[in-house]
Amino acid sequence: MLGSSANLVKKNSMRKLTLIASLLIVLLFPATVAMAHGVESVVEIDGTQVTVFAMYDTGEEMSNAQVVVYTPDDPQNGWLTGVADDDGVFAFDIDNALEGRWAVSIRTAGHGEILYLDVAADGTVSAEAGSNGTLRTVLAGVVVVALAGIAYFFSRNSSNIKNDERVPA
Amino acid sequence: MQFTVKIISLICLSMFLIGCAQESGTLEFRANGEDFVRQGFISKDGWQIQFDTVNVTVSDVAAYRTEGNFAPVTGEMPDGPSVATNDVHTIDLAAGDTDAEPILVKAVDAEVGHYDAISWSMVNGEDGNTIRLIGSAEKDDQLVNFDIQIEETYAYACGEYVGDERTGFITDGSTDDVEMTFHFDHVFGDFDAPADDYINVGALGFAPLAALATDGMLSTTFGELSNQLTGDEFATLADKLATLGHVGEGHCYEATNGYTDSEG
Repeated sequence: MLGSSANLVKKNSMRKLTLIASLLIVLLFPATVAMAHGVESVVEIDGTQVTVFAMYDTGEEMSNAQVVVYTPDDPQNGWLTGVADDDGVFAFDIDNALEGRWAVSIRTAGHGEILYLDVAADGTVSAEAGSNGTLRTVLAGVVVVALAGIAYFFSRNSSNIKNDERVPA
Repeated sequence: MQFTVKIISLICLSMFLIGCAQESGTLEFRANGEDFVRQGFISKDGWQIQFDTVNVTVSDVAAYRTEGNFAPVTGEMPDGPSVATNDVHTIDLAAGDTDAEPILVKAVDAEVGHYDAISWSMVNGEDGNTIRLIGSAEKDDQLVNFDIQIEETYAYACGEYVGDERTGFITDGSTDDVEMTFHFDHVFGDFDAPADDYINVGALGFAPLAALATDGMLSTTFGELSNQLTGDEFATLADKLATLGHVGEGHCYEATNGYTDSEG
């Protein structure tokens, strides 16, 4: 009896956890299920060193993607042109004396996107917050932490019930 | 004194008029079926397809100045100063020769700035269709003439055009364009691409449609195809039609079906 009650509590807790996790995923990633083979590159910035990881939304790298970098003061003519390597990586040193919004065009056959970088007045370089890949990385972390917290909460609850039931009447 | 007052008044009036005058140019909305439509292509399953007519009907076409702040992921519309044409336009993407330019839909006056996002709806034209494909497909000794009419509606919200050059830049007195690009290779696949390439793995091809032809003729609608094709084939067709809209190789969000296809 004791064991079956504890198992029942555990099952109910897991169902609740599954439901909450499902709701979180649906709310935070509404387009995930319907998303086709898209482009979701990621940018890493270290001072003035910019590294673009060109990739599809499957995580597969965009090997040898064509890359063109545009400056704020000449947005229609490429400032730098190059090709990503076999792993879809393209690195360059941004001129942080040119304040404003830069654009990085990433293309391969039938696929492409434009990423935006901002150079502030103090020379700080940042990526546009709307970048899909960057934002999803942040959201994924939130979901993981939330799920871990929920799991801990329910595991503690079921544990407390088990302990209470073991207390002799 | 009176002279001084007049001079000051004249100066003020001049400043007012200068301030009121807004710099503007001409923004052209264009539609492009690319070489797949203009020159024909071979489907993933080996059918040589030529288009006589590829009609798409669009409305509520708008271009926005978002300063790079729009990502077509969640279905939200672009936010920023915009220009639009709300007329209904039916465009034949196959018009012109094999090297024809993208089709001019409408030219509008536009304030200076960079138009880096676009949205449009695909609506039913006078014939009731949003898309109409008329042409022929040939494979081995088989010839199929087709007239495929799609009555489904779609709504696209797209980011910046991705192509050989950046577009949508308007300066005082200049002309530039924004483009609605339609990727019909999504539906039929591309024989020149590897069989395991994304463009082919998810495409319908032409064979399922060829199988429906009678005496070398296929005349059908989207609704009829829902009964004529298998469940999987129709789902594939519906899925890929929703992903037609692009901005060059840049992606769009298709709001009616909740698709975002960053392809291209």
